[in-house]
Amino acid sequence: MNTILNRNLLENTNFSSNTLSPFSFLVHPLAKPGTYGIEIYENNNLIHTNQIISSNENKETSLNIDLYLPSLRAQKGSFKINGDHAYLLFYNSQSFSKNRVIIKDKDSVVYDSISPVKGDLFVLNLLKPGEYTLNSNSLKTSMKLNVQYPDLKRDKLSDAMTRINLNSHSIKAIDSQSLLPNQGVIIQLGDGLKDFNIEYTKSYDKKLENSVVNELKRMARSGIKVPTDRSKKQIIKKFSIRK
Amino acid sequence: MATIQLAVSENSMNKVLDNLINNFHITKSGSSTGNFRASYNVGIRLTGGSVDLKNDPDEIVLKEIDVNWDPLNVTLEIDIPEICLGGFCIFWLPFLGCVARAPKICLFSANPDISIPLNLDGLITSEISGGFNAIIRYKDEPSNNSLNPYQAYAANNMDKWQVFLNSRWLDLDIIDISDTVGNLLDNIVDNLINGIFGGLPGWAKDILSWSLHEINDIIRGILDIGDDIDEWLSDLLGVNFGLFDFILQEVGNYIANSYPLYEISNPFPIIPGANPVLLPINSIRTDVTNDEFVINVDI
Repeated sequence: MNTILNRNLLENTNFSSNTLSPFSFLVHPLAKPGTYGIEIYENNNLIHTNQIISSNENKETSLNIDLYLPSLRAQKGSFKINGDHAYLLFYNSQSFSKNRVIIKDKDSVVYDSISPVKGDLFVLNLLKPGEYTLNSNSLKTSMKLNVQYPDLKRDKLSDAMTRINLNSHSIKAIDSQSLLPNQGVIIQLGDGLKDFNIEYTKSYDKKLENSVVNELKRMARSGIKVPTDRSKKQIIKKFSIRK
Repeated sequence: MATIQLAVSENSMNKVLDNLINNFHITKSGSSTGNFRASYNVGIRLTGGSVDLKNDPDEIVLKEIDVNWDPLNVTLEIDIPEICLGGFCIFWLPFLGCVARAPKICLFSANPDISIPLNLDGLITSEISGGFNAIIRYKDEPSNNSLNPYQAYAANNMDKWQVFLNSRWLDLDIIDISDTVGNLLDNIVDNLINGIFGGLPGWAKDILSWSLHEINDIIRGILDIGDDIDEWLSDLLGVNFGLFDFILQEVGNYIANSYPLYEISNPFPIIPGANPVLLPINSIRTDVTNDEFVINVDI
């Protein structure tokens, strides 16, 4: 067994609009079919180039492109995606990295991830319970994201499947947003929202730790009969050999 | 033909039983072939018990011999299904459905195998009882073939008439499983979570456990624990491991073959010493009354 998620990845709780990781993704829809060049930078160094072929010959409407270098190197041939619906999702499966993605149509840049446009999405998956502060220089505003400590009885797993949608208007309008761990947060970029930072600003109550595990134990016990009123010398089970 | 009767009381028989069972010790290790993989390491000793003599039909009943399980260690091997985060739909379009989905980040590169060691020492109280008939065997010492009876006596190497017990029936009764059996489930949950999420902080174990909070169903499904943990445990030890049958077979074989209940030299030194008087024994027979075990010696 090889563990992919390690402690460092889980403990990393600060994000920015150009941080790609196992828990933060950038989604860009291609405007029209065609053959594009893609350049991927890490810390301002070009690390990979390839082609994206967007054509209706391809059925896939989304491409999850892992910017982890060994994954990029493992890519055989061009990236291929549908022509009418083409959503490119960039992430890094193994680390928190500062990446820049440039997509070119011949020599002209049609997308630069440092300048997001309307239609681009930044998707977050916040796991660690606590309070996060989202600050946006471009919007000159901030808001809180409160990731609740889950309660086995109160919080259904299906609740976390409902996405939280934020955009430039809602970020300005609301002070805080509650959510569950592993509940997707989709931030619509554009409309003045070009950048943001998310910092973990307040931790949860430490006493809650192990509450889910302890509740699981209680549930395990409650579902199973453990007799406590046996009379002395009562035979529970008999195994016999007869000749 | 004259007959000499040797009568042994129940009390004397109890002392013989004590000597017999106190020397019993077996160990066994192995693994199951059931729905899940499990291995075990077990040691068994016997103590206590009493003898009850029964007439018509003749039977020597060894009652309520305590089975001491020391050690009783079980290791469960569990395949955990793939555990992934993310994978939710990001963008949904009418008629097309989900057109962009978040990547699934899986916790492991392959389905992990988790080993869960369980120390079951002291958890089970059990007893063995058995009904036996006496069988007579003649031990012909090959090393005294070239000796006359007096030389064999001098060499303390005579043939012997021996009385053994042969089992008719054996019961292993599980008479108590400690209430602490519930702790087994805590142990399983703890070991499972630490096995999967070992090294992660407590909050992360909580979040990930919550993310797969059907973990209890996983445990119970994989281990096939119904709603009765006593039943599950006795099935695990008795059926999956076949330990109860094994113990009964071993105890039956041990009592039947290891030590004779009594033995009488043939010829018998009716006057021992440097110039012994030796009495040839033609045969021996046994009889059981409700109070005594009788050995009839035909001379």
